[in-house]
Formats: sequence, C-alpha cells, structure tokens
Amino acid sequence: MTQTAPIIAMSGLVKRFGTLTVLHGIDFNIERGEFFSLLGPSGCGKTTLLRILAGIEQPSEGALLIDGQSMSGVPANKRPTNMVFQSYAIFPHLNVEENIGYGLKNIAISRAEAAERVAEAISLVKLEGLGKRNAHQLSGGQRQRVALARALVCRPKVLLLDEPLSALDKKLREEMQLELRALQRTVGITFVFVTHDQEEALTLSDRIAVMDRGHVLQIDTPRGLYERPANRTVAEFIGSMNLFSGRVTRIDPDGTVEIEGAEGTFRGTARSGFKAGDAAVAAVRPERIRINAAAPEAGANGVSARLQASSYLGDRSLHVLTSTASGQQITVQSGPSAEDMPAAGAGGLWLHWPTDAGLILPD
Amino acid sequence: MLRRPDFLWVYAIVFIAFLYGPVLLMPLFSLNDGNFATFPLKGFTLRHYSSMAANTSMILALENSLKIAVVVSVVSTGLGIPAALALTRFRLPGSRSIVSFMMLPLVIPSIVMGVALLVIILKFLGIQLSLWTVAAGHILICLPYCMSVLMSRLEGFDPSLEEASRDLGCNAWQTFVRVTLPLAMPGVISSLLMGFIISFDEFVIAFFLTGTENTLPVYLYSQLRFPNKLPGTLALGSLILLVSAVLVVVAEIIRKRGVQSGNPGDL
Repeated sequence: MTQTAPIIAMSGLVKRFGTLTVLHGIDFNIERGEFFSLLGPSGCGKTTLLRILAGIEQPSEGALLIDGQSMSGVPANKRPTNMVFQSYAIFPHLNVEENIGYGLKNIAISRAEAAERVAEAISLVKLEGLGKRNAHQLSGGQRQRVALARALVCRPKVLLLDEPLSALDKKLREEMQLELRALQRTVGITFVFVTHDQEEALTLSDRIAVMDRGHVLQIDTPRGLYERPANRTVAEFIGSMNLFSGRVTRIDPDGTVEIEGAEGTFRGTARSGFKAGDAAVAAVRPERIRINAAAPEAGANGVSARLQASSYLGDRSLHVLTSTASGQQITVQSGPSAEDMPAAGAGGLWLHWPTDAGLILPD
Repeated sequence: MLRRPDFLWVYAIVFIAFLYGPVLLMPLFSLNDGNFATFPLKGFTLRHYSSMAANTSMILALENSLKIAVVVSVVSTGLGIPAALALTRFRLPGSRSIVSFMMLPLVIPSIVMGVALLVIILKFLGIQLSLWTVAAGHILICLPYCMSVLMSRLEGFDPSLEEASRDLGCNAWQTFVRVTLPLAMPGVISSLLMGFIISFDEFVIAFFLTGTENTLPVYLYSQLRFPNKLPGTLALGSLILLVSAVLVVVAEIIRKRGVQSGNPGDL
C-alpha cells in the first residue's frame, strides 16, 4: 500500500434492519489524515455508517477496506479504529487513569510503557491532576476528554467520533471544536466525525459527506458545499437559502441557466445538465441579496417584495420579506448600519442579486 | 399543606400490628420462662436458647439447610446471569414469552410443585430422595427471583459501555469480566442473598423432596408434636426470623445503592 491510498474505502455498503433499509449503497473514500464529517439530520444513517466502520454493526452488503485491509469478518476488537461514543461510555467503576488505560491492557506493552502512554494522553487532553478522579466526579467536558484520550491512547489509524459535542453547552462546544481541530492536526490521525450540526461540520472538517435517508447527497469541502450545493436538500441543509421554483426556459453555452416561475425569471449558474422544461429551483443566499427601491434592469434577477420584519443582530441585520407575487417568505441579510435598512413600511421593494450569486438546482 | 386525616394513622397502626403482631409473639414466648406459649408471662429466661446448643439433631438440620442454601444461591445466580444477559442484550424472538415462562414458578402453588417433583424424581428419574433433590427443587423456585433481580440491574445499563470495551480491544469474555460483571455486581450480590434466604426458609418442597435428612424448617415442623419442645422451637424460629430479616435488609440496601450509583450508563 502506498501512503496515498485512501485510509477507508467503502463500496456498495448497504445496511438493512429487518425490512428497513437505512443505508442504500454507500461508495466513497476517506483520505489519510483527513478530518472527515458525516453530516445529516437524525435518522439519515450517519451513525449506522460510523458503527459499521467501527465493526459494531455489520453491513448487509458491500465491502469496506481500512488501510487496504478487508474488514469483512473482522470484529470491533481487531480493527485499527477507536471510537468516542455519544454518551462517552466512560466506565463508571474505573477512575480516569484506568479508563484511559483500558485498551492498553489488550496490547502487548510493558506496564511502564502503558503508564507513560496514559500520562501522555492525559496531558494531551489537558486532564493533568485528575487521573485518580472517579467518572461521576467529572464534568461533561472532562468526560468528553477522557473518552478522547481513551480512544487516542490506543493509537488507532482512524478515530471515530459519534456526535461527541452534542451534550455540551454552546460555549464549551465552541471551545472543544477548536481544540478538537488542533488535536487532529497534532496527532495526524484520520478523524471521522458524525454530526447533525452543519455549523460544527463546516468549522471542523476538511471534507464533509452530506447524508439524507441512507444516501450520500454530496461530498465536498465546506466551501464547496456552501457555494456549490449539488441539490435542493443540500442547499437547504447547509446555511440558509432562498429558493424560487420554476421551469428551465433557456440554457446558455457558458453554463448560465434561466428559469421562469411564479416570482419571475431568474438566471444563475448550474452544475448539472438541464434541458428546457425541466423543473428547477433558483437558489440564492440571504447575504447575496440587495434591497432596492427600484426594479432591476431587464434581464437581471429581481423579486418584488414587501418587508415584514427586520432584526438588528449587531454585526448584521436580518430582514424577512414576502414576495408580492406568491407571498413566499424571503430572508435577506444586510450590513448593520441604518443605510442598509430599507425604509420602513415601504410597499414596493425590489430584491436584486447578480447572476453569479444565483444557483440553478434540480428540484 | 393538606392535613392528613387522623383515621389514616389509626388504620396504618392497626394494619402493621395485624401484620407483625403474631410474628413478634414468637420471640416473646421464646424468652418466657415456661413450657407453654400462654399469657401471663412467667419471667425472662435464655434457657431455651442455650439448650439449642446441645440439640445435635437440630444443629445437623441447620447445617443441612445452610449447605443447601449456599448451593442453591450460587447455582441459581450462576444460571440466572447468562439467561438475564441473553434476555436483556439481544432481541430474541419471543423473549417476552420466555420471561413470562421463566417467572411461572412464582405463581404455581408450592404444594403442586412439590408433588409434581416428587412424582418425577421417584417414578420417572428413579433418583433417591436426598438433600440434593431438595436443592434441585429449590433452584427451580429460586431462579425466577434471581432472574428478575439480575435483569432489572442489567436493563439499566448503557449498551455503549460494552461496545466501548469491544472497541478498545476486548473480546466478548474479557468485556464480560471487565465491564459487565463489575457493573452488575450489586445485582449479583442481591441475587445470591435472595436465593439463600428463599431456600433457607422453604418448607413445602423440602418436606416432599427430602430423604432421611431434615432441613431446618422440616425439623421445626417435626418438633411441634412435642409440647415441651415448643419454647425451644420458638427460640429457633426467632433466630431464623432475625437472620432472614437481616439478610433481606442487606440485600435491599445493596440493590438500592446499586440503583443510586448507576444507571451506570448515565455516568
């Protein structure tokens, strides 16, 4: 195996529980040293996929290679992976040191070396001085660190994390995100991270797989997912997005596609191939829309709308409008200053955005 | 605050007196300096207790009962652990009916059970009645108690603790020894105590299944024919009552403490 071969290769992974299929043919690779996230709403199959990687669940069909080795028939205890559980699964009858050293008893190393590795792991996750504490004397954040250290001390090739931050409060969660990212760079191990929180996935990951109902919808970098979502579901899941549905009326050779719908005619860039008459949506991010008093010039994107409410958020303002044509709700983000705010009570406002800010996605 | 009506207190006191009064008469008469269990009391004595030490057939019966109780509690707990694990860890087809089936000895009258076992052992198996047949019968009635104590402990368990152990390199057996058993220990101990006490106090099945040797309750019953032995019997009964009560309280304390320290999974 060369160093450039993927650390994890999945092909055609299917998982069925009885008559329910939770994974429909998962095919993708995870590269060495990546921080890779599985992102999706609850029930999308992301945790099941992680448990298949760990060997806790067996796939119904398909092949899984970790570091070039087939994992078929390899039980969890023989895999080069370790997991941080959502509940942390700290052993309540053992103290911090014993918890962290748990997996080392299964490896042929001396007592002294095991103790050294435990001490190293304790300092890595900043739990110095807490080695003799019992599990129930630890805070949520500390338990999370114990779970991390316990998995890392075994020096896995892949670290699997199942929503490890979801039980923490917002401030601690943000701190831990930064630490987790730094930790991953320090140890250089491939992290596979499961989360339903898109902001968390964007903050942490090198690449993200967006999952829905047992399918992988798109695999891309955070920037790629935000700027070039592959379809409507991804567009709605990552950040907030205004969507106007219609049918394709024109396709330009440069990739610009025009659609016509109830709110008007919209032009934008398209990733997938369309033909005239296809159902499509024009998608535009709230921060790409400008609020104007006048209609746009002919051929440019514009929606006539009425202002419903504005909220001042310090660094920015959010405006909620409804389209004059259909009553559809539209969100616009502007700068915080008064000049960015449209005149209150104004009836005929126009929302403008440039062609390159609009995306045409299959509906 | 709503005032609690007074008559409820009266009811509660009468209720408790009715429940425990007759039981408490036994230690009272056992300390009475007389040969008949009647009022008025004649004076305080411990001679009924001291004379027990010289009663070899009683001591022999006590030894038999202790031996059986130890064997029964160990065997029924030992059998109960894998069964409770299987029923709480896996989605078995018909596991609910299996549980109800295993709990059946709780509702079968012990006299029916005793007669049935006697017929099976003598007519079908052709085995001589002995202390071993008593122990076998006791295991049968203790198993449901041990199972329910163990299952309630194992059900409160975060399954990811065992998964974490597997993930960290332990095989199924190592996981059982290093995680499952230590966490189930309060349940195991209260199951052992429960098995012991049920077997030690059991009369009907022991009466049917014992051969020439007596267990303590059977011995006690046999002594009731001799009126002058009654106070001694009462003394013995009082001691059994005391030991049983202590064991039940200890078992309950251990079980409660287990419940408090975990929900092991919530930790």
